[in-house]
Amino acid sequence: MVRTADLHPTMAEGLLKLDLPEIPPAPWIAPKPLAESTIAIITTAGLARRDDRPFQAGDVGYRLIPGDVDASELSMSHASIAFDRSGFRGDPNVVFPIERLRELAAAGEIGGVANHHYSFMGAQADPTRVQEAGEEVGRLLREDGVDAALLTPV
Amino acid sequence: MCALSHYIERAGVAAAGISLIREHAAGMRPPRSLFVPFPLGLPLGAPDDAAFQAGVLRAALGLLETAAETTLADYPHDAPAGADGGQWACPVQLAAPEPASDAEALQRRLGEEIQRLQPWHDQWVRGRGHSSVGGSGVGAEGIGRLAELIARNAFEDHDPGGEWGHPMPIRLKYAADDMRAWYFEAASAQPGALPDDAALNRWLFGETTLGEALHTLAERAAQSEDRAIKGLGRGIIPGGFARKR
Repeated sequence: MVRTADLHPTMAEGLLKLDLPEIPPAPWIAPKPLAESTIAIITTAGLARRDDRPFQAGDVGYRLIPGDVDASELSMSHASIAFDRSGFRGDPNVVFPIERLRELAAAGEIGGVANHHYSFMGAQADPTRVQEAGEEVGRLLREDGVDAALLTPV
Repeated sequence: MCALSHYIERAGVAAAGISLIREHAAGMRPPRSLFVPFPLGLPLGAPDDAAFQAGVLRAALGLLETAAETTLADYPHDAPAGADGGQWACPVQLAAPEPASDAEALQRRLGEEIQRLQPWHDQWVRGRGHSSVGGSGVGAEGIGRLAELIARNAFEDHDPGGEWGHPMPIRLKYAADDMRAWYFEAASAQPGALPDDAALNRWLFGETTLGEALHTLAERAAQSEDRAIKGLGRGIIPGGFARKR
């Protein structure tokens, strides 16, 4: 089991001393049943297709990941080296679970997989800097018929 | 992750997130969050374990049906144990690293080391179908360019020009990340469970010329008066692996 108390003291201190912004909650959404919901993945792992622009440190933009992407086409340009990348190197689904999502869709457990997914750079010193891009992605998801987003960190 | 959940939900799309740092989720209160007790970097818990990943995914998505208000749930299962990092050993016996006297010698020794590891990296790509190298904008086929960049800058400021994904000096950080990833893939190519990054870093920074090169680069950067360069060491040497003088 890994908790912040188990991390290297310097890393744990760095993670816990971050100023966490207070973001007013959005009006509560009552989602559709999962079996009727189209799901998109939003990751803050700094993933991009190999022919796309890699993320820069502090990058507040996003990268589009097509719904039919082969996960092995993704590379990680996350700025931090303070996490284990061995899993992603061997199996991108451990960070970007696109194949698992397709399996749930095939089994009828979710309604479908989105046409597009989105990637951001995590470890932002001030997470509110992604507000503009985040709200934009929310609108793009809605217009694309997405009912719910799964957010994955690293 | 937490901030994005708020922003996406504002647009009318329900958000359910996985959290690796419980304190952040508790503080920022995204609408639906599942804390998972897994190592940083592994939000779905276990590579190459589809059943375990599916369980985590169902638990996170399940919050969309069960949560009626802001919810932070705890995933009750630890990730299955991976490779025994303490027992793992690289399949290739490399020449013991020696302090380099100049960039040319360092680049040559790096090139020789890469030649020794290349068959194993090829094996990794054959087995996995891909390489994760590429965050620098240069893929696995450009390992020689990455090595030259690291070796030269370990002794002098050197911008080789050409197409890269990042400007100098941050390019050095991403080049170092990609070189470590290439080495780790080569070292992990033998069948069996993947060694974790802690075991791989012990090997790389203790037994390889690349480790020597990255230490030399970091130590030179630390002498710089340019803040962007001075902080480079923290970006290329993971915590706990800095060279002790």
